[in-house]
Amino acid sequence: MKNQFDIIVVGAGHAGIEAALSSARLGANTLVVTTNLERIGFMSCNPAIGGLAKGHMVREIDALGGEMGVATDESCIQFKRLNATKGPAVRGSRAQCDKDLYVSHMIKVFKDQKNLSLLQGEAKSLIISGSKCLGIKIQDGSEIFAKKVIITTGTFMNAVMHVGLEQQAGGRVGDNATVGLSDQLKSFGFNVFRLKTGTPPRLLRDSIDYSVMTPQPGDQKFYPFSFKSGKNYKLPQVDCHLSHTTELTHEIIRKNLDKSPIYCGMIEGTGPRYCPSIEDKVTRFAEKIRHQTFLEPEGLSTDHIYLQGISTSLPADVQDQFIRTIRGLENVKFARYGYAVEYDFIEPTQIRPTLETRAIDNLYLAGQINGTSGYEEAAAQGFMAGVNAAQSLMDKDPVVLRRDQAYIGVLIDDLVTKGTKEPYRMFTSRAEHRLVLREDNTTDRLLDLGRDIGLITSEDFDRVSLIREKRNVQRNYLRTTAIYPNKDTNEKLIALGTQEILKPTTLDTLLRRAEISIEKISAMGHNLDLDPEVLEPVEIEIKYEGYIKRQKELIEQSSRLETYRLEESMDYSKVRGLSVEEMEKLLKVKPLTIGQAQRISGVNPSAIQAILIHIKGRKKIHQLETNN
Amino acid sequence: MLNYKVEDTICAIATPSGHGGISVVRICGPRTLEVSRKLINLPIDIESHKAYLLSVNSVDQTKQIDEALVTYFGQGKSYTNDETLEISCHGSPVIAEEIIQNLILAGCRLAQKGEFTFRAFMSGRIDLLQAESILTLIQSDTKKAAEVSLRQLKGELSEKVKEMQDKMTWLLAHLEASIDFSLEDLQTVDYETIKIKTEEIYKLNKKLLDTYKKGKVITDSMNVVLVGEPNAGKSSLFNQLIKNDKAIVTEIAGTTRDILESYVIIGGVKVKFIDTAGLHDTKDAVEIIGIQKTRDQLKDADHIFYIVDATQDKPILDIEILEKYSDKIVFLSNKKDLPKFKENFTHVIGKKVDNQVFLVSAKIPETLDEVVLYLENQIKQAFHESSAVVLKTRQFELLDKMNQCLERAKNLSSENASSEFTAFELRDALECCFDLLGERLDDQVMNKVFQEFCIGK
Repeated sequence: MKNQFDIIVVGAGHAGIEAALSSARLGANTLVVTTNLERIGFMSCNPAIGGLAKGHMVREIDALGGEMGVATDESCIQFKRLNATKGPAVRGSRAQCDKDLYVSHMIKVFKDQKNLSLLQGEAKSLIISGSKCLGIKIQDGSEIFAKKVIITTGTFMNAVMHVGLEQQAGGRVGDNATVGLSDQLKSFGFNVFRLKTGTPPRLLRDSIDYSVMTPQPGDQKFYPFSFKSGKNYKLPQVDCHLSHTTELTHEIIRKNLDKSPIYCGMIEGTGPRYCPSIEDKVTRFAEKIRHQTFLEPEGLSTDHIYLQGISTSLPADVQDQFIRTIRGLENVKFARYGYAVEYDFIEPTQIRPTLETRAIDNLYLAGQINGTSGYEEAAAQGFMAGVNAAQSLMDKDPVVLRRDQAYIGVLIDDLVTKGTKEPYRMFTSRAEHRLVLREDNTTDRLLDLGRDIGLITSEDFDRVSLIREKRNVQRNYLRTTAIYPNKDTNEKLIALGTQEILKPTTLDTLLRRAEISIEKISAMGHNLDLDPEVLEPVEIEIKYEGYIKRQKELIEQSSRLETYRLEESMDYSKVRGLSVEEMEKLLKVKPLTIGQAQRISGVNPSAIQAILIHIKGRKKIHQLETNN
Repeated sequence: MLNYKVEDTICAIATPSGHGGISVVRICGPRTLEVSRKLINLPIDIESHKAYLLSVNSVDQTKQIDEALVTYFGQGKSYTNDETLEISCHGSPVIAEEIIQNLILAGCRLAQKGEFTFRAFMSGRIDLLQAESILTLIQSDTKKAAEVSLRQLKGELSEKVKEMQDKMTWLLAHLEASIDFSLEDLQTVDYETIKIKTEEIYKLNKKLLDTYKKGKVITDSMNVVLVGEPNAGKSSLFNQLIKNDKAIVTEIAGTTRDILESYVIIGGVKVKFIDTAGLHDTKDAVEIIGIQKTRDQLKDADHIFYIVDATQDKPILDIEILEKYSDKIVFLSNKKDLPKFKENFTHVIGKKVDNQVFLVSAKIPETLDEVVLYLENQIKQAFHESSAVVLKTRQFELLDKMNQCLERAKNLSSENASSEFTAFELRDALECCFDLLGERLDDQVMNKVFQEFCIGK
């Protein structure tokens, strides 16, 4: 094997895949080093991709040229549009996936990808000279050099698995921990902290009594994650099932809390507040008499069932007891017990918005190593790290998405600006401009950028352009076509369940009525394209025009501060009027714009004012000096 | 854009220009003591909040400028929060100016408008509403204005805004949870609660918003408009009310064609009495303009004194005015001194009214005492203790924007619309709170607020 590459990606989880593919597709000679080549894109936890705000990110990755959306569509065995009854900006897509098919899709894509080499092995340390990363050293001591190194080791750094009070080194059942890397980063001054996460038991399908559970079917209508996918399901669709814990379940858990590594203090890492273990739920919501659990099949050809909502690290014998108190699981057999993982993460305020570390040049970090949770958050970072590493090699400008442009922009800005103290999960409420960051307008927001970066082919681009053109036609038709208050029209309107009109009305005005849809207008005899890809964004933009307009005005207002650039080298100790805390935070985060500085928690508006005054003062002095 | 450099040590004369008992020179900034020592032999262990009688000399130590009382305020203990020194010198502008010149020679910079208050804001000692109250306090020329401004400085208005801010934050957190955690069987807030809570915040804000009218009374004046038929006796009552002969009083109807105004102080508030052209049908172009002006005045009036000649058999009343402004009309049944005067007002106008009626005559000044007392009580009621008042247009505009957002949020929640839109409105309203308190950076707003100040404050 040759030992010189453009880019090395350490890890082949959801972050590593996107990092490796985007860099290889941009022409960089890329090597992926992973401890297990059989498990590329393995879903360590739940067998699902997407969800509220996460579905948005999968579509964004897809519109920019990533792989996650395609793989999800290929392996989807149940699809749901979540929050379907709520407004258009907070709907999210989620797919249950066949875990094995997801992995085999990724392995195939990796094997077919030009410029991409694979190596099974463990990265033991980084080769660092001065403040530059030059490559990695693997377990046999051999060195591999590269211009850029992207670390995507997920939960594997110094990972310890806990089942009850028993511990075992490892990042996931069946895989070893990565030891050494985080100590080396610590020695370079990185702040490294610990987080924990947990996973529920996997049960054997045939030992479950589904007859007492509520079936949870998926949606009839499929909205593929990838704009490249067809509109039909590729695989047979399956049901999930809903069941509940009982008071007996809670009693057993409470009685055994002293055997939980979290409750007896053996785990120090902070757990995901938004994805609590069943021990947490029983303790925190003591008044609840039952908790829901979804039984999700992990695939079409496996008999493993994922017990969503019951993540636990209690000992096996306790799991044996309390799981069997859940309705329908009285005689259940375990495929694997639930467990918790504790792992190291790097405080993400130490990385730049490009995901390159500030302390070591050419070293990028992406995924759970930066304190996030979730496949989608990881993939988004991996993709951006790969793109930025490759852009930098080609001497091109970095690609940093704005908060008003994509959830991915919100994600990375939050991480590098605010840092995180618990596993960071994306929510729609984190995006202050969410009314314009919808799933339906993803390609409008990002496809041009994807093409400019070079990851969207011109055939794909042209195909979407055609749809956009159809939308324009439809939009114009609705805006310019009027109906008149005559008997025929008003009869049709009443038949559609809406009030009659009293004066000539354009179709877009009519569409703003809550009970009217484009489909209904079409039923009145207007020839409109009813392809959801065409119709949906048009309908949403017209129906919610007022709000979208106001959201855009707010974006416009904030852009003045978002585009006010700050020097990364700014010496905040020289800015008077800052508290010690503010100064320290600014020196740590090194914001690139006034807008970013404003979002650092604990930095007050007066501090921003002080920075502006300081800059103005310096500019004046500079002017005086140049005039003299 | 504000250009106050906070690292500078600044100085200014804090008292009005001209001769007086004393003038106060204020020095503030990190080098306060260092700079002052070049002029004054300050004790090494100078104590905060203690006055010292010391000699103030020129920087080159060639002459003594004055002997003055010097008070030092330590870091964190002054108006600005920065180290401050105040020199109370003899009240000649020459002396204060000479001290300033020497301070500048010693390394001070002359303060810009509002710079001391800006520092107090920057240090977090006061919020933006409090900074504005300092301005209204300085500018106040009546007791009430000073009183209300002082209450605002103590944080009364800020408290109300913060109360709404807290309520909105609570509601937003629950709304967001209902969106982001809709799949987990958590107990999130229901539509009914959202509706009730939104309504509650809306009412709080509306109440605050409505105080702006009172605020106008304080910062400007309370407007009392006198209307009535020609020759009902408006001008003589006006003259009696303002106790001077500003209006021309004649027996010929229709003399007051223009608006006459005059101020008096009642209950600590400036009251502006406005005499108007008599209301009647006329073809005289000049009079028509006068009557139009009268109608315009009525819109902005806080109180309308509708004057009726109670000696007339059937006085003509302007029905439109009576209906439109019923809630602010007080009847003055005039000419009590004449024998034909009818005591029963219902008989005078031929119907019963709910409005307050006073029987008056310009010739018997005591009859007007009750009218003045009435105004005094109105003022007392409006400004009873512990009611926050909106004083500045900026405050009003932001509260008004909030009002619109909350009104829409209220409607959305009763339509059971998706909570993301209610959340949008609440976020927008919350931004207004941040702007009110100066908790969000908007340098243009700050600029406007502090530019209104004079130098030395």
